[in-house]
Amino acid sequence: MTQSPNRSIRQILHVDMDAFFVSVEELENPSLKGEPVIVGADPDGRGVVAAASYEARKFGVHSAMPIRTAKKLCPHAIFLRGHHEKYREYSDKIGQIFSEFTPVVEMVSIDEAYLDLTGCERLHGSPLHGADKLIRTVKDRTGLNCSVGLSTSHLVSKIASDQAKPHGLLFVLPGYEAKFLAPLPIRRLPGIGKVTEPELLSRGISSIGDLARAGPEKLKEWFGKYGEWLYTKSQGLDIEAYEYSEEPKSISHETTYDTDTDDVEELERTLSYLSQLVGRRLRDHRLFARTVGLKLRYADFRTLTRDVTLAEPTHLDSVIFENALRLFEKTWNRKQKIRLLGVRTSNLEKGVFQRGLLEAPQKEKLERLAQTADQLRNRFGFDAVKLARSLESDKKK
Amino acid sequence: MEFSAKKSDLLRELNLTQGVVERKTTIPILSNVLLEFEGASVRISATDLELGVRCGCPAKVKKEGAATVPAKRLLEIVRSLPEADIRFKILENHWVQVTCERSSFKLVGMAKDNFPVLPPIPKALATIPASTLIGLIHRTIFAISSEESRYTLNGALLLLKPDSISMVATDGHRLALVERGTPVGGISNELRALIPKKAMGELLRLLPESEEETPVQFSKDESHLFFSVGERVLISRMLTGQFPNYEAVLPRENTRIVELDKDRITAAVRRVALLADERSRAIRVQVDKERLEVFSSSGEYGEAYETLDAQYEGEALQIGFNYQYLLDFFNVLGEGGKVRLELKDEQSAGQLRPGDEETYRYRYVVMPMRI
Repeated sequence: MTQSPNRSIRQILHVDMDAFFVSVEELENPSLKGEPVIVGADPDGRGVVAAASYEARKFGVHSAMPIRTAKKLCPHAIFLRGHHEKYREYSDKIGQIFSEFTPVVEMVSIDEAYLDLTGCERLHGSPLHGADKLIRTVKDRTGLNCSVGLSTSHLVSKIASDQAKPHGLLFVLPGYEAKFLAPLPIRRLPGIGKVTEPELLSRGISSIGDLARAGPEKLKEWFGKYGEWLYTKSQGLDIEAYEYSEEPKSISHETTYDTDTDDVEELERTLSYLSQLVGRRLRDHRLFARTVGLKLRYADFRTLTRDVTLAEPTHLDSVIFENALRLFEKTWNRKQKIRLLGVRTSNLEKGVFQRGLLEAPQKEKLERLAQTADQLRNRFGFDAVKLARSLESDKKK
Repeated sequence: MEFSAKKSDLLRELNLTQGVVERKTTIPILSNVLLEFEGASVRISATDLELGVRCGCPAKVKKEGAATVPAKRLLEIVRSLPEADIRFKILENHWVQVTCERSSFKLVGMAKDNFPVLPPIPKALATIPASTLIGLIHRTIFAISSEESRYTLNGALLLLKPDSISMVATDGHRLALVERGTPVGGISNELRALIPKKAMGELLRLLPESEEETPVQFSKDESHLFFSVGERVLISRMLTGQFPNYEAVLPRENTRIVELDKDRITAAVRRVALLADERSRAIRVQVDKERLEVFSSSGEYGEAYETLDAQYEGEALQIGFNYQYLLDFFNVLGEGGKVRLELKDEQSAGQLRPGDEETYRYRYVVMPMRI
């Protein structure tokens, strides 16, 4: 996915559909055009806005806002519950167009994708031409508008497409990445959230340019390894290029709950989801794990870790989950609420090992499932496919 | 109480019991054999509570009786004696006197009443030709798991049908399945029994390797299997539990078929194995037009490579195997002949069959290694 940056100048396109859900609704029902349209939950309920038309945004409505607030801001808006199968259909169409442009398409969500145009000059002319052609093709074949950021990195392209909205194209010339980012506020960098932002602000760093000026040494002193990452990001370079360069010794994911929980279903759901994240990364690295581990932190910060060694190394979500779940059931005292759960795999091997015969028919199905899931996730984003255990039950919703 | 028997007869029969004599001395009487003499014969029994063997030979019985004596000592004594009649006489306190020509021994025995009673043999359920049973065991016993945790894999499944006998064994990595079409007396439906590995080994000892068809009577009760040939009986505790559904793992789409000279491939695998990684025992096998290549590499010692002519027309394919698994199968096949290697892809089970054996339908399924 990520090529070494010095082989040739990378041309990464980030495509983001403009007000995707609303635009699809407008295509299906042209009378909505020019109206403030809000797609989301029941406007009198406790849900949120999924998408808002540009007309509605003029009133301050934006996605993820509580829908009641949206109704207060824009009471005359047309509220729709949305047609998710339709969105999926359009998303498929767009994905198809993308894959005609380049074989390297990474759909990160239903309406957003990275396209690697590196080396596609013969096909599309200059990358700028290619990007322009893409925007027109999407419009011609689906009637939908999109915005595109073009640069040498995922990070910069993503920020550029946002700057280009709506229906725009922003090309950041190679070598100008840091300059482009410099005036932007630090929160625009993915990975800077409610914890890091105040810390940086308190040290007088408010723009990405400030980060760059602080320099790698100082950032490292403040934040350790994370500081190095911050600096790399401020330069407009992709972190992945660093992540993937070294063989990992372990692969783990963990999550901290907003509120501590002892809801068994929710905890299992988390384990399932974390197992899938871990499995995916194992497969990306073509590694197999012989050890699966669990990390559990109680509300009082007491932290337990447990692990188990497998007879046959695995990269399968379901096998990781089964083992993590078994460890969890053995470890959790069922009295205390849990603050954090983590799933970790270690003892990673490139894998010379004897395959099992009796499990083979089952394993083969699981292998195929994992492969298909990964392909779908490459196109539609990680959340396009999930193990059933990680889905919320209707009752819970 | 007294009897005498020929040295050669006694030696042969005592040898049969050695495999089931308990070596640990937690229950001392299990280290003894039981000698029961009546009529014109002596019956010899041994058991380790998992297996029991009963055999016997003609004897001149002066006065009927029974005794138990240390099995190993008795065997050594009998072996050391000249070709002549050996006389046994029960003395006081369970001592047994053994005399032959000018030699005399007094052995410390134990009360025969403490010797475990072997279960009575139920009515025979089926009659199996001994040579067939031997053939089945030879072709499967090596694939049985010795991992105690995989309890149901510690034996082979015997499948009796009216017109065929099959045996299946697997250790979870490879599976040997052999079938022979032959009328099986007494069977009208299907009869399944899980035979422990050790019982199979003892059967190989017990069954006569003669050309003519000696019938083996097979029967079972609730917890034991019985195999009897004439006076000889092997009694085995039955393995409980479910043998895996082996039919589900038999390859069905292995269309890449390579035919090889058996001795050449065996020699090649042996040589290349010399530099295979010692822990994993992995070798790589590459099939390509008209040839088969075998590779190995060990971080410690180096690499080995050999190429062989093969009948193969399909696409190239590389697959990893544990060399020992391949050799186990080749060794069973005996000298000469051909062997067929049937593959699907690098991650599905491969199948090996003898190229030209007809009396037995024999297939060996081996899961590849991930390399």
